[in-house]
Amino acid sequence: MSEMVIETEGLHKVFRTRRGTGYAVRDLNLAVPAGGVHGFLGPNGSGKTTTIRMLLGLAAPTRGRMRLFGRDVPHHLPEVLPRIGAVVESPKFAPNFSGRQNLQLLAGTIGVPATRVDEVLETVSLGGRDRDRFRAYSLGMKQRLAIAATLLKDPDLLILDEPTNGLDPSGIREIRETIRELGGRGVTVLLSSHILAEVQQVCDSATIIGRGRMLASGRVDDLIGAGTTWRVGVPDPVSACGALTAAGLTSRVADGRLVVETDAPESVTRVLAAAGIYLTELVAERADLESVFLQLTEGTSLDDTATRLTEPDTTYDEGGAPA
Amino acid sequence: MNLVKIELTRLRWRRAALLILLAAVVLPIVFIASTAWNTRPIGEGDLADAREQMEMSQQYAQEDLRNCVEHPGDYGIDAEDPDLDTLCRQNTIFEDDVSNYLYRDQLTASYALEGPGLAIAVFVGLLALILGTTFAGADWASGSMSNQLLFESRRTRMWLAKAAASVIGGITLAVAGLALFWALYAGLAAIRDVPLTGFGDEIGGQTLRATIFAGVAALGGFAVTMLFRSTVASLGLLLAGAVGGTMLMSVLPFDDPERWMFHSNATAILLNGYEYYPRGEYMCEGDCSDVMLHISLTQGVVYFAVVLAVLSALSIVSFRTRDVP
Repeated sequence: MSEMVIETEGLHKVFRTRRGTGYAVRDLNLAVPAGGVHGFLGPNGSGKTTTIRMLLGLAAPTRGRMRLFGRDVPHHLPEVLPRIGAVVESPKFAPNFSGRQNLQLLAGTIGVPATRVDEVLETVSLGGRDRDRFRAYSLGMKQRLAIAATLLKDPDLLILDEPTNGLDPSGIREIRETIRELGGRGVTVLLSSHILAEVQQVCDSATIIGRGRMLASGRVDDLIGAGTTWRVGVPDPVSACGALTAAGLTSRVADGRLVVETDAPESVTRVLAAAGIYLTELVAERADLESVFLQLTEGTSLDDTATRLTEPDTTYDEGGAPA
Repeated sequence: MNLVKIELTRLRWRRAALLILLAAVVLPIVFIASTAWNTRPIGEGDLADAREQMEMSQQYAQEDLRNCVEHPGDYGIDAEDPDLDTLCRQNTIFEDDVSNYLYRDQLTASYALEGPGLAIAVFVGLLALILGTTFAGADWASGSMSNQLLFESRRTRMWLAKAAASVIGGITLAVAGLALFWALYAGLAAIRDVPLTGFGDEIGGQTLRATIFAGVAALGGFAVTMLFRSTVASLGLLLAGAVGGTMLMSVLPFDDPERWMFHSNATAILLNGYEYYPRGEYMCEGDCSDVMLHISLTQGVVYFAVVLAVLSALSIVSFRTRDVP
C-alpha cells in the first residue's frame, strides 16, 4: 500500500452565520496516495475549498484529524509546509506590487534565492510582464503567478484549487500539461475542480464530495466503470427489456432506448436471439465522470453555498452512494 | 530575523508608507515656517500698526466716555451722582502702552517644547499610528495574508515580525520628522541669535519620548487592525474611542476622569508630566500646586503599557485562532 500524502479522518467543519449554524464539511475521510494527480471533485459549496483551507492551516476544523506526509496538522504544519505548494481560491497578492516583488517577498519568507524567482517566472511564461503591477494582470496572468508562487518551494505536494478559472483555452492547456508533467515527475497533485472534463483528462484518481461529505473515491477508471453499459438497438425496446430482465440481466428503457449493464455483451445477443428479437446495434457506452458525478450529487444544487443543519439530511451508505 | 527583514521590505515597498514618511518630512517644514512667522521680530511696520490700533482704541474710549456721561444709566451709574465724570472715566479703559498691541510669541526653547515641538510629536505619533494600521490593513484588504500563511504558517511569528516592522517604521518616521524639526528650529534660532544652551537635555528627552511614543502608536495601530482586519474599521474605532471615550469619561461620575483619558496620558509622556485642573475647577490664583492634579511620566507610561499589552494579547489570540479568509 502506497504512503498517503493527505489523510483526513472524520473531518468536520461547522460555521456560524447570522442565519444560523451550518456545516461545510462532515465526517470527511480523504486519502490521497503519493504520486500522480488526484482530483477533488464537487459542486460549488460542497466543501472542497474549506477542506483545503483546513489542511493548510487557514481554517480550523471543528473536529477530526488531518495528516500531511504522515504528520498531524495543523500541529506539525510548519514542518511539512516547505514541501507543499498551494493555490487556494483566486490568486491573492499585493495589488500594488509587481509580480516579481510579490514572488520576491514569498521567496524571502522561506529563504529561497532570488534566482529561483526568475526560474519560476520563466516556467509560467510571465518573464516579460514580471515588473507590471499585479492589479494590471489579467485573470490568467494572476493564475500563472499563483502557480509560479507554488513552484518557489519545489514542492512534493501541490494543492491547486480551481487553477484554470479564468484562463483562455491555451492557458488551460498549458496548466493541464504542467499538472500532468508534475504528476509524472512524482509530485503529488491535489486538483480541486468542478470542471469534470478537466479532472477526467488530468487525474489518475479522484474523490467526489457533495454537501461536505465524501460520495465516492478511487481511480478515475474505476469510478467511471468503463465498458459496463451497452446501448442496444432493437425494434421493440420494451419487449426486449422484459426478455433481458427475465434472463437476469440489468436493463432499462431510457428515452426510448434500451440500455443494458453487463460485462458480458454476448449474453445480450444470445438472450434476445432466443426471444426472437434481432439487434440492429450494440454499442458500448463508456460512462464519463459527468454522469457518475451527476448521479452521485443528485439533488445537490451547484449553487448551494452550504448545507444547513435545519435542512433534511441526506444519508449515504458505507460506500458513499446515496441510500 | 529574516521574517522581520521581509516585512520591512514589504513596508518599504508600500506606497502608503512612503506617503506617510513624506508627510513626516513635510510637516516639520510647515511647522517651522509657521513658528518663524509667529515669532518674527517686531519691525517698524508692526510698531506703526500697533500705534494705529492704540490710537483707534483711544478714540473708541473717548466715544465710550461721552456715551457714559450722556447715558450713565446704560453703564449702571446714577445720573445724579456728583462724581459722574470720575466714575465714567474709571469705567473706561484708556490704553496708552503700545507694547500691549505688540504681543508676539518669543522664539525660545521652552516655547518650542510646549508649542510646535509638542504638536509635531503628536502629529508624528498619529502618522505612526496610521502607518501601523495601513500596513496590516493592506494585507487583509488584498487577501494576501492567506497567501503569506502558506509560506509561514506560524502565526505568532508572523504577527511579531509584522509588529516589529511596524514599530521600526514608526520609529523611523518619528526620527526623520523630529530630527528635521529640531534641526530647522536650531537653524532658525541661530539666525535669530536665540541661545538654546541649557535646553539640549530637554529637547533630547522630548525627542526620545516622542520617538518611543511613535513606535508604540505604530504597534497599537497594527494590533488593532490585526484584530479587526480592516484599516477603515480600525481608524474609525480608534477615532470613536478617542472622541467617544473622552465624552463618556466626562459624563460618568468619576472624580478624576482626566486621569484616564488618552490625551492626558499622551501629554504626560511627551511633556514629562501633565498638570490639569480638577473636575469643575478651571482656574486658580496664586500658588495652584495644591489645586492642580498631576499625571507623571511613569503613570503615563504604565497607562499606555497596559492598553498596549491588552490590545496586543487580544490581537495575537485572535490572529492565532480565527480562520483567515
